[in-house]
Amino acid sequence: MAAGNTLLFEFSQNLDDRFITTDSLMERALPMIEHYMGAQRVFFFNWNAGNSIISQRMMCESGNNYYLQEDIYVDPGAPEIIKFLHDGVMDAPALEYPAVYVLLVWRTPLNSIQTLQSRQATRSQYGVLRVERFKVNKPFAREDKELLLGLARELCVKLNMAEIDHYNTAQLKRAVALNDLAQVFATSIRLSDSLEEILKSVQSSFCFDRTSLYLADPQTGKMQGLSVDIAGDIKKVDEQDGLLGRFCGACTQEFGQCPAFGISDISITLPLRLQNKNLGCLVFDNVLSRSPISQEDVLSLRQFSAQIALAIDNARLFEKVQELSNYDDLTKLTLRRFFNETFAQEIYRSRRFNLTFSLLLMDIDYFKSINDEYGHVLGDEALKAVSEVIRSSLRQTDIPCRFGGDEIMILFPRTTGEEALSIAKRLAAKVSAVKLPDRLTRGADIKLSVSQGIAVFPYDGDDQTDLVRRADDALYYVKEHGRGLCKLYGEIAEDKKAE
Amino acid sequence: MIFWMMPDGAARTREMMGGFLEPFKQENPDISVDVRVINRHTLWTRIFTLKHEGLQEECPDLIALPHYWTQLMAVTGLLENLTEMDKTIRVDDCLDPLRVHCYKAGSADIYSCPWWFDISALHYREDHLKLISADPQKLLSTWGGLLEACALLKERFAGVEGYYPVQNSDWRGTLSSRGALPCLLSRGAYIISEDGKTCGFGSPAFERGLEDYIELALKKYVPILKERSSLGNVNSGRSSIAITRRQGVGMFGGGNKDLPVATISVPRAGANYVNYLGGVNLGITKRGAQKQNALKLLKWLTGAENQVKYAARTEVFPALDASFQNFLLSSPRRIQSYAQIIADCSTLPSRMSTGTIMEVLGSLLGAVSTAVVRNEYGKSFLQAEIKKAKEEADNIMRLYGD
Repeated sequence: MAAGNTLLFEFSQNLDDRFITTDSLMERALPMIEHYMGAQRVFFFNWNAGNSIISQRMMCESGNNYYLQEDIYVDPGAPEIIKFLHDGVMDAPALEYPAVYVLLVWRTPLNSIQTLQSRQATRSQYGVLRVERFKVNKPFAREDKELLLGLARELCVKLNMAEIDHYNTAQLKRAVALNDLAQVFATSIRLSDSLEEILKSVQSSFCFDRTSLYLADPQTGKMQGLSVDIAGDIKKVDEQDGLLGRFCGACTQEFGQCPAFGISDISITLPLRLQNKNLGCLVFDNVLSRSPISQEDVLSLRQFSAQIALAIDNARLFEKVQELSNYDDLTKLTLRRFFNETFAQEIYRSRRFNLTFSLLLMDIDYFKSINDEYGHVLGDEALKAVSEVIRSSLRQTDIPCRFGGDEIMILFPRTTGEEALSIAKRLAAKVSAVKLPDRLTRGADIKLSVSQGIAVFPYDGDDQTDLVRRADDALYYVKEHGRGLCKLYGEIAEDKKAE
Repeated sequence: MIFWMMPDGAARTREMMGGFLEPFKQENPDISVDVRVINRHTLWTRIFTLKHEGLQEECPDLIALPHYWTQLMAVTGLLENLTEMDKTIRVDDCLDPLRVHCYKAGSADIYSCPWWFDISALHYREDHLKLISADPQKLLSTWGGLLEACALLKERFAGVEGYYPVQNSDWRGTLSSRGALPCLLSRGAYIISEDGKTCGFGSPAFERGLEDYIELALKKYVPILKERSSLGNVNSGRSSIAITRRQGVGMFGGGNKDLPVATISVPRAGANYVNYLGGVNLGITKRGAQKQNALKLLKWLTGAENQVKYAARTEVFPALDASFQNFLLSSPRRIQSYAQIIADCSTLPSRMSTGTIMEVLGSLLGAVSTAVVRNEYGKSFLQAEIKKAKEEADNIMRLYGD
């Protein structure tokens, strides 16, 4: 027995390291057990009591470990199994050579999410070792079995410690991930950037096969958003594409009632809610790998879904504020400050890449008379109508701006003077077709027209001041020569020389 | 460098591989190769953690993978582009069904190289079958005939303790997806449609094919979920038939080369004979630290001479077409046995979702195995499991189908 105690002490000492996983612990332990027991093979099985199957996780033969597979059915009601559970050791009855099974019971920490509240607990884990002497055919004596039981007890202590280590490491990783994510949210202001940042961060922190973020359209309630997959590719998604899958129904039904819904082994759907507002939902899935999502992950994700909701709400508010500060409320055209920033960027870009662009300055003919004669309400209406023509006629890249009063400026990136002139003529034609409301014109047939002047970068000027001045010169020229027309600065310069 | 491989040489894989790699080590004394033997299930779990730095304790440099995983691993960025690493890498001299499994869809670049393959076939003890039939080959040509032979053999060997007519060739000792494939395909079921959009689970042919395969376990003709070491096999005479993907001709006999074992196609459950061809490819991981060393070993292992040597040691077939032809021609018995088997072979499609779909099928058969041994199996159980599997498969195809 003294020799046995020495072996147990040595065994325990050799397993005193910190093991990241139970597998790495078993990789160290199995060769030692093989050696101490004078065996030629040691198998380690997990025992899933739920389905009465023991599943081999690892085998050690001649000091080498292998991850092999073997599933064996165990009848939990069989008398020999009941006795085994009591004694902790039994001979392997069906094998033709000496082999014994020894029971391992250890505990693993976990968080229960049954009530969606974090509650720390532990759960029993079961396993068995099968130790074989298939080469020497030497039966296991009583003292051999006692030694094996002692080794199993020591091993269970180490398994407990490895499980706690593993749990703590995982919790620490989650805490770090949540902290990192909190920083991402704190610095994500623009909604379009936020979504990508959030998805990428979640994906790298939690390592799901796919993470999808859906936002509900405030008007229609339809869900759309972005998804990042295991390859890191981001794509746009909506509720039709199947990512929400069977949870889509749950989303609309249970939205707002349940703090987390759609939890399955391989996917979770979490609602994004803020002050009774349904912002959307997050879907995490391991559909491709089929690896189960842990309860601890679900709890962590719940914690930070509230942060995400807040970040998204902030980003939306920021965009709203930006919209208000960048756009003129009456005409929905950009304001001068925003326009000037864009104008400066366009000059920089055009200089760097040797590009041209055009700047158009427009005003509504006899605008002051309209205001004086029919009132400011009609003046505003005329301004709105002209702006609407402009907004609906331009390309996405063109930037119109309410420059002041009835003056409107339009920047046409990568556009020559001739091209800008052609657009200006189209705009003038459309403006002439605008019909102002009878109730404001008191029956008068008011025809709107606009005068326009164009300057071209870099020919007419290579900075903001020069270009605006030249466009204004061209506009002034038009006003001097009959209104309702459009002129390039280059043309009037020629005319002026001729004059 | 770290090399992850599956237990091709059974429990002695590492020992066997250590000896096999000796010439490589002599040629490359500065390269150390650490072989890790990992079963398919564990490998499946681990490849997904490879993508994420910090999740996996170690990252292999070279990895042996089932041929139909290449697409998934290439698309998800787990495998290195071999063509980019070495322009001389080619696979056009490999057996035809294996070639498509080397590329990423829509690309002409190679991401894995075929190393070896095996093909399912039925091997039987001629001396045993003679006791119950004058024409065993004819009897074993259909699934119904196989079941009939099993019934007769069970009766004939009733006095032999631990006897089962059919040896369970699955490592786990359960009903396996690879074992079920010949029955499913023979019944006309498909796993993934040709256009890659749908999965064939749940069709009448699928259910019928599964029933054919399960019947072997249900009637206790094949042992399932028992201690592997307690079971007899064709060699020991405590089984008469094995449906396995290894060569068979050389596999049986052990020390007794005269053991009378014949090899034929897997009996047809439906209209056609179908023998399942499965390959193992070698790929280099994107996150590996010693990619150039891994490339050296990959080229060494997939070289013609070493492929043949490895195949001979592990009772599989070399993936190079010429080597395989030579291998067949080297024995009249081999060519007689395998010419037809190869002609009737079929393999899985090269799709991103194939691996996951096969895992779903494996889970279905795992549940069936447990139900069979607990005497809880019935048609309604099977249909409920199929329904569950179909729902999951449909979801996978919706997300990852072409």
